[in-house]
Amino acid sequence: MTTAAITEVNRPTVKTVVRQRRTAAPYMNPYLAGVGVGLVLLTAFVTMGHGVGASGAVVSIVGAGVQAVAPAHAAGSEFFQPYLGATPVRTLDTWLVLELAGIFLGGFASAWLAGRVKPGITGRRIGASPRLLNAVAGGTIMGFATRLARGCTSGQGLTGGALLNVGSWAFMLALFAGAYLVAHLVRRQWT
Amino acid sequence: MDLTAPFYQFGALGPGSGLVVAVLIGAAFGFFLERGGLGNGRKLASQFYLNDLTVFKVMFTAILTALLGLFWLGQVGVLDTSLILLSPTYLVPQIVGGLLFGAGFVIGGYCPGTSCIAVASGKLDALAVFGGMMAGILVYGEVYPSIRPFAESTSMGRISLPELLSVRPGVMVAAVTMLALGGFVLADRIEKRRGNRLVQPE
Amino acid sequence: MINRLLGFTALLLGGSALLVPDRPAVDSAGTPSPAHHDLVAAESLAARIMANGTAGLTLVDLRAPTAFDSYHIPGAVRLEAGELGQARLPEANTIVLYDDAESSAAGVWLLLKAQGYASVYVLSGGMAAWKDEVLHPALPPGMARETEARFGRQMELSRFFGGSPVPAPARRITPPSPRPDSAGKKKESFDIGPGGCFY
Repeated sequence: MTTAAITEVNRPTVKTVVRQRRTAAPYMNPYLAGVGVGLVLLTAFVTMGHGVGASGAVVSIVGAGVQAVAPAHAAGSEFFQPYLGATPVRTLDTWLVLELAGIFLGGFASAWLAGRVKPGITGRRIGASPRLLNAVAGGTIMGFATRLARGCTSGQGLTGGALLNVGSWAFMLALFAGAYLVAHLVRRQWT
Repeated sequence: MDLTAPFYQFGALGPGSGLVVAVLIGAAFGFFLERGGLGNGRKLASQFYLNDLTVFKVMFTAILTALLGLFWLGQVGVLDTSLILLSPTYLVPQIVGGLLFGAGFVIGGYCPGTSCIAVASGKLDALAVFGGMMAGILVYGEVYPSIRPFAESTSMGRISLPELLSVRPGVMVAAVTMLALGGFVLADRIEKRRGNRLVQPE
Repeated sequence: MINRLLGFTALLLGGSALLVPDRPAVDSAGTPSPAHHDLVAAESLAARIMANGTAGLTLVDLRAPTAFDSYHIPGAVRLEAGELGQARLPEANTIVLYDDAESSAAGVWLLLKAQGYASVYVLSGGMAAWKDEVLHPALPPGMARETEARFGRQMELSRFFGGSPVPAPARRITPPSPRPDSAGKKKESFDIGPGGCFY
């Protein structure tokens, strides 16, 4: 384990507390991280009566965008209309959007403290432009799929998984199947 | 009884404080996901080449933890599990959604929540995934009237696995526990056989 | 090793779940349900009276005379716990006992059962529940949509028994229109999109 040595070098003093550590710390034991995530999920159940999500917040964000650009179109949209508030800002004022903002902040805090905030492009061995193109394409397919599935890895996978929701377990099995089926097409990007 | 949860439903939490809870829960959620390495696109994708099964381990440990917590809090009477929101099942659309989601996941490299974390740690490709996701949802919203019949087909209502299989919830909880523990042992073995090619932070 | 420890904890918690019997420890109201007497929910009792009247039913009010005089469930007879020895209740009837809450009714239930009455129930939550759920029903905040459908039924029951339903906020009853967001009021967190989709 090199953790001890690293912490020794970056012992936090008043000065270094706000400065990101220079060497990236190794990741946490996945099982411990999983217990952490699980306890957070359980806290959501106990306090709110529902779990955590991510893609639902993106629907509100997109809905607010459509509402800002074309209010009449948004109000007439069968899909976005139920998500809309009186104004685009009110549309964004939902539990899930705030939770997603929290995910961003929490992710940043953890990455910063571990020296893992590093601007760049992951998987760029196939070239930066092809990689970004893949990212947009993958994101588009995924965004579309979240609405068909009524959730993503958070809202269906974790939340529905813990609730033993039938649709969530079907979604999760299909997710792994779909990913393994397509993985060889983009192997060069990742391995 | 003051102790009974979910607090929000029993009025112990007002709408305003519910929103504060949202940010706190999100932050803790994002923190632990990043700690486990789920903000790294290569680590997420390596799951699907069987080189690094961290995604599986984190996800199923989280599911197991929350599942056991829910079950036992319900048993001791602290939590009224019947008040917890269970999303309705639409079997075929959700299976098709899952297949597409998996494909998009491995091509893009992130799922919605983890893309946010990767954006927070400065990854441009994660921003591209997030942008694509917004586009995908916009497209869905625009074509919704025509795919609605399919999207709402095979509706099964709010149903859980123990209800579907008509077994006692406890039996299902035990079965899922065994399945997950077996999966963890197997995952550790696969990683070892492939030479522990775990993705490290850059 | 921490992984082993976590594994054994999961094995213990998951394995012992096998031993838990089917019946949940809490009822839908979130209060521990006493296993020693049979309960009937205020709403289902009301529905039964509305459909069939009190035929075949004997409603026994165990509260003080003043409380009985100011209001009682239509058709109820007042008995005090002490009078039960002499009182002859129709044996073929279903007997429903109620109290202010539920406290002394449980003891009377046991007594009647011991005397050989076959079908004896206690009104769950007592008169308090009858008032809250039947006479003056209101929608608790943050409830799922199924409740809305039930609410029409509750109003019907409430009017039948001469109560007054506490009207739900207008936005719950009016058919969906752009999400009404009164200024300054935070939205419900259970807003559900098309197809019952929260996440």
